[in-house]
Amino acid sequence: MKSPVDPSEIVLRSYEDTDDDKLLEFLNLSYGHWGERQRWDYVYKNQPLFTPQDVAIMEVKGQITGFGGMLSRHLTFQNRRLTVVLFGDGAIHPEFRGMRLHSKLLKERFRRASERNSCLCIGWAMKNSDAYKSDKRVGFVDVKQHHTYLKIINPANVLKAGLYDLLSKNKRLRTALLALEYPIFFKTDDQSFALSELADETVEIPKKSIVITLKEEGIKFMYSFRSISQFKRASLLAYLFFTLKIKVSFPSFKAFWHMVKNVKKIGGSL
Amino acid sequence: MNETSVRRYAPQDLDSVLQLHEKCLGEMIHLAVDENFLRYFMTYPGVQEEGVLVAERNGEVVGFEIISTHEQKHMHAGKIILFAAEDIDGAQRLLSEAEEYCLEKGVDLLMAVPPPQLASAFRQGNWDRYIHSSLVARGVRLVPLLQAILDTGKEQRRLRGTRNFILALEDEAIQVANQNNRWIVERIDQAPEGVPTLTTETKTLLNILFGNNNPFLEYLKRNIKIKSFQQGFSILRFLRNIRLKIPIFTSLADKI
Repeated sequence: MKSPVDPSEIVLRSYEDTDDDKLLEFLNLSYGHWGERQRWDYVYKNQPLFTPQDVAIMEVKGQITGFGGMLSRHLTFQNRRLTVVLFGDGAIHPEFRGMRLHSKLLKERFRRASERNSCLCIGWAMKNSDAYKSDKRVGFVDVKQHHTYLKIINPANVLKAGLYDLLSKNKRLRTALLALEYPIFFKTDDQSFALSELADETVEIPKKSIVITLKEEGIKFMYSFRSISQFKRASLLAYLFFTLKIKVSFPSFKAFWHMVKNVKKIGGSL
Repeated sequence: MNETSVRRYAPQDLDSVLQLHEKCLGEMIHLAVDENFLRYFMTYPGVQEEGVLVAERNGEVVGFEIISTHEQKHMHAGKIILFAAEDIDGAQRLLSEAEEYCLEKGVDLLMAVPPPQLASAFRQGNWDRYIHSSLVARGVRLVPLLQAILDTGKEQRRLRGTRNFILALEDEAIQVANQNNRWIVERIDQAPEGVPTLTTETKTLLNILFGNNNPFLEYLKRNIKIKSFQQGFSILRFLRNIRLKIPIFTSLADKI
């Protein structure tokens, strides 16, 4: 852990009108790509119940080091309206991570939620993600919700987006797959593309490559991949293989053997 | 019966749409949508005027949807951020319009959270269930929530015979007392003498209220402490009876 910041240097304050550009820049730095001004205005400033206290800003020596967003809503329950707080973005400046600033900011957000007589803090997190695990550690519990439905119109693009999302958030898996001696290509009913490129145009598959062919049904299942546990991921892959919704073809026995030798490394980072 | 038609939303539809939305969600626990929120959702990133649609039958609004489309890495995604319909017919008409609209916009994937009674319209339209992000909650001030749960007539009937008790949580002590056949939940500063006290963490209580855990098992795991089991049994039974068995409804518009 990095050396902690002197508590006397930490200032917690609320949003002010002149903060917009600085906060947007901070969020884009912390999240990679958070979004544009339109999103900032929509999510925070234009929300009908927004107040400056909804945005908790942490500063160290005048530099923004933390952001905690929360928004009030009313939960309709048995003809009653209960105040709840939706937990939005929570971010710490990359250079200040590992200094226990996150927990300090979180405490401030809970304090503010309590001040406005909110009965619950509500949030959404991808199951098994770091954010989900961290939420569980600070007292969040799972709440049953109604199902989300999806319809895939263009399977190849959905697969690319899913792979991009999975690999950009799982660097270990990306490294393990790209380190294979034989390049991996994906093939759907109407497109083929390399894992390393995820190009928008369909490409010719070179002879010496491992080809993973996915049927549309398989892509539907794969879209949930990042939201499920490691055990469920392994079971899902096994199911897709046995039902032939995914097929893997190798250019040679050597390529197959190379893959087998690396299965542990790839499987471990799933 | 006249056929259902779909057209663009007009400002004079506001009241009918709000009524329909409330009627559609009915008794479900959900985040309230008033006229300010409805107008706000119409400005959701990626929502255009032609993406806000109402279904009409015999001159009455029988369905409503807001569709957002946006470009993300490698994919053009579409979301029906708010969806309400009087019946399956209205829902199906809205869905086919949404799909047509999204095809025109070059959308690769469409997502929606329909009210459960309309889910069959989605299944019939070849939509699949999808595991999206998990909804999580943390207790802050539980008195209003407990009071709302206990105010339902059904619970009142099932809870007869339980004595008054105190819930001692990390940050607050809550008295649950039966006064003239109505359960009153109050935050108290000091616990009165001789009233059974159940000590637990807010997280444990919330897990019980949201139906994730069984209070008797939590007692056996020592996550709940009560001085005498004899007194405790009826309190644990009380907690088991007030568990929320229905999921919370949140639309894609609610997620931030």
